[in-house]
Amino acid sequence: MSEHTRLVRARRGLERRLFLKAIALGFSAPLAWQLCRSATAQAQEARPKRLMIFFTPHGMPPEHYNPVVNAADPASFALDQTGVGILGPLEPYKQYVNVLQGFQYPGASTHEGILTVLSNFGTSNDETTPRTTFEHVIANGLGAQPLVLGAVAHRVWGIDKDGKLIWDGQPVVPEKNPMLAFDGTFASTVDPQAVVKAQLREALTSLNERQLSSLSSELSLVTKAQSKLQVHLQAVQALRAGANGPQSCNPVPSLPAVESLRRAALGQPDEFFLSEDNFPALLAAQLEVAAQAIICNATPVVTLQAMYTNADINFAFMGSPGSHHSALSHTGPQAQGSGLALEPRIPFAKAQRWFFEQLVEHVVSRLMVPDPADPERQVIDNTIIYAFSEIGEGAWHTSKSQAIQLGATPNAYAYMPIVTIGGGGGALRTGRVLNVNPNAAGTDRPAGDIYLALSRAMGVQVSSFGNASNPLTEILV
Amino acid sequence: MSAAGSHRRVLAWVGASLLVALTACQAGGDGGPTQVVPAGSNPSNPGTPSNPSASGGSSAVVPEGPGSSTPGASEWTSQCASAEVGAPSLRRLTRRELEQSLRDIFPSLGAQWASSLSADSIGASGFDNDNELLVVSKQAAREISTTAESVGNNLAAAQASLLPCPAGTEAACAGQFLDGQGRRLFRRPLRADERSSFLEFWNTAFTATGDFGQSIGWLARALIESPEFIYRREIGVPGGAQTTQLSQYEIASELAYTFSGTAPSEALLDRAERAELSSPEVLVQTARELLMTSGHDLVHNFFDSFVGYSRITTIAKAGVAGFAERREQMLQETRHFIDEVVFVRGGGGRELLTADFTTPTQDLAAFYGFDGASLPQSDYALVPRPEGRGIGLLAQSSVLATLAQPNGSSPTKRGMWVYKHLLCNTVPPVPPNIPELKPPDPKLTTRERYETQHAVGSCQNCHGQWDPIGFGFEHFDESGRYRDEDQGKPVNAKSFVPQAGQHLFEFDGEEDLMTQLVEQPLVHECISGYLATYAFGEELGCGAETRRADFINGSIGFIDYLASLAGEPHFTQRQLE
Repeated sequence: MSEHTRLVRARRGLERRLFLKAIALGFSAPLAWQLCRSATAQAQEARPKRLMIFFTPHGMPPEHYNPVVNAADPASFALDQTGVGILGPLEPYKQYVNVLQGFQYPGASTHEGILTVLSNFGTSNDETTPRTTFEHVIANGLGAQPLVLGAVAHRVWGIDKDGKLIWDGQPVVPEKNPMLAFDGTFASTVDPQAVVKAQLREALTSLNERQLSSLSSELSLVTKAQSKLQVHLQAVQALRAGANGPQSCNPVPSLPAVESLRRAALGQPDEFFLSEDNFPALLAAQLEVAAQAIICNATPVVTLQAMYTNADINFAFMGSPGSHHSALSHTGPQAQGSGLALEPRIPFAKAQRWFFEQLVEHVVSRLMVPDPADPERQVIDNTIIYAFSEIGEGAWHTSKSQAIQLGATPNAYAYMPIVTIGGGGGALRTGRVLNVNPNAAGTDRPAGDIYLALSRAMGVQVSSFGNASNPLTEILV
Repeated sequence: MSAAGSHRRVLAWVGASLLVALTACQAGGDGGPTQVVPAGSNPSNPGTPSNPSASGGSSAVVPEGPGSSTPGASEWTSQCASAEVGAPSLRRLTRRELEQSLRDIFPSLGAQWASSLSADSIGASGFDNDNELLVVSKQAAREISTTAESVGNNLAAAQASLLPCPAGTEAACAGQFLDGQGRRLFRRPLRADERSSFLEFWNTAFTATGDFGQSIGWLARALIESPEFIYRREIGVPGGAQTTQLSQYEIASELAYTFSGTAPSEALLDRAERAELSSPEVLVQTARELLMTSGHDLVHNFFDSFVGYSRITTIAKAGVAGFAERREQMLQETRHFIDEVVFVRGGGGRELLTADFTTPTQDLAAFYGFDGASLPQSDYALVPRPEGRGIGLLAQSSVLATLAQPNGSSPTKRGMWVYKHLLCNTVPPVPPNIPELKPPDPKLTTRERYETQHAVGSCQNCHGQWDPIGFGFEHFDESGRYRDEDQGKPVNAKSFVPQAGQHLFEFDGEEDLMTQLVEQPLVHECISGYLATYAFGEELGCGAETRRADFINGSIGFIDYLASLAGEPHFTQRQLE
């Protein structure tokens, strides 16, 4: 029996026992029920929770992606029976998996949707208006500093709209160097001058704040300067939040992909970490760092952006030769009978499956260990991995559920690829395919509804994300 | 014109050019009659990045026939009624500027300190110094703090040798540090109240640590994290008629960063103190000196951002033996080429695009299949390009390989680059439904494959605008090497340059394409627009006109045009909103 099923039954059992006790003590039934629900909710909130965002660009071909679902029971599904089975690597872990279908990214369009998909805000033409992506909303709500990682997440000369996935008011540039990420996350030196440094840091921050305020007054008539200074002041004030608390692993294990890359990167220029040649090694190392940060409770929020959109990395390294964007993802669907032919898009499907293979190898499988912060459970039980892409159908560049129709009748339905993995500290119902707009017949729900639910699962109450204000409670316990 | 008005005009230009481009895409490009558009006029392009008002801005003469050179270049006239002055602003230092400033202000630290700064946002123009995008985000604040800490810690460790201070005189030493390094960091002397505040902070640090070195380290951190270091002021003091006049120190800062990418030197600050930075002639002369002595990296950053060729070191061409180990050489070849064209020869657009030489290593020359006089005697020596093997910047393998697919050439990427960066057209948003680009077919040349695929449906409406330009580069494969055949068939590089459904001119191959392009005033107008945007960090429609005609007609090159921007009204004034 999976942990989640045990938990649900245990929770219901506990709730029933608590309810009966409350009744025995003379509480009214409604009040008794409220009390026991509150007790289990508190128990849930006490558990450690981590969120990991995992982005892969260019969508998924539905004929290789869509789970096979028992229409009568969404908890009865297969992830590895559709074409090459892009989600197949998750099949052994599917009790922790939710495949969410029927959602859209309002305002998003083609690959530029990367600008808006995680905030449910703005349009794909807008890369300047400040916004905050939902994982940063959660992190800010928790008073935590996310670990933002990338594997060739932007072009070598800077970050343009193709790379601006993560926002905290302004775009956040992912850390491209896994070794820096590892060393920064797991630095373990005890600083004897920590107290003095903290005092001086506070004095310095106060000095900066005074200067910014003074400058703002001086330049009161210069509108653009005012807005810049306001952003700067908020940023300086946020420095007070400082780093996350100490991580819980002692010692921190050596990570093989990180150490291998450390040796290979010796003496290399900075461009080494944005080189297409090194993409597989970079991704593996970053996934290892992400997993270890989760296991060691170094941060409650981790993001990993694998590639920028429109990246033309040659995927010959895993057996699908061709540039990922122009050649592979743009391979169009072809009809075969009433469905879609599998053969034409096998290379692209295998490339996208490779990402999930990497995720499982370096993260999911490694989270199947006792949680150091909650030893009676596994790390995966207290984690939510949110895997997605900025578009749905790779060639059609869909931003909402859409029938792929190459003849008189639909051949397949392409949904925005969204998967959650993990129990979320007991807050998530898992092990199902949830389709809120079957056959794209109706209206998609905004993805912000998912973000609201995940925020709630992580213990942060958010009322809206863009035009979304209706949390997807179907995935919440 | 107010900043808001300028902004609205830029938006109107963007909207107009987008509308025209979309209309052109939707109207379809079926090749049409071979009608040559008068050189210099560009019906589909309302203007360049810095010339939104111009509708080509030319009084060009109609050429005699396809492919003939035009005398129109010398007759270009600006459509700007007056010189534009931008709004007052605070410009955050870019990552490069901040790092270089610290290296120059603390040279004795060498490479001991580490920068934690992430890449800057790239603006619509392709540059990393877009004033609007450069803000101090939370991430930037953390990274500046970490960088400042690294500098401060290394200063602290080296204090005894860098700033020896007898016991009991620490306060005076700290004051000296403020007067020296503080002046360099703030690019002006500290005001009395600032000096007092920082000394007070220093005293707090000295008292808390009990160590003068550490206290100086903290003082340095405070100065580096100060907004007075992080931002370049371009505010000025009120003048007349809603304008402000930039102070001498603001001008010194602007000169230094615009033309050398780093903080002003002691000597330049001294000149500001003596109020010597006033006349346009002095400013232009100073700008030129800065460009020639310390502006190489800044100029190279322009061309790299303009073309994107530094990406060569990060891309793979699995099907080209020997490509991976030669990528760095290709990049250096291009840098040497630009040095020669821009700095040594003082060239402009014409020279950049039609230079008949290159600067390969001996290994690269062999890789390219060069022989005879084209084989260099030493690495990166200047050699003539073999006849028919391309000319100018766009024949550089770093450029051609970057503008290609991993497994083949790309007429779309190469043509689109010319369409956007030399003809200043706007590329419309990608439509939602894009069919696949089929892999190389042994029975079809790349051109045949692209022509077939992009003739499907609405693809031709857009691809018809730039693919024909790109066919001119088909003699160069995905690694930038010359080829006579593609898939066993002779390469066909005859094509035309489309403009608004007509043919601007026809050409045969890259050399012919470049030779004719440089006769178009529009090309030089477009390049000068990008230059001005890069220099100013923003688009000013009419802020760079004084020597634009000279750049367009070729009488001055890149260095002189860039330097001339220091003499523009915008360089010393701002218009209040």
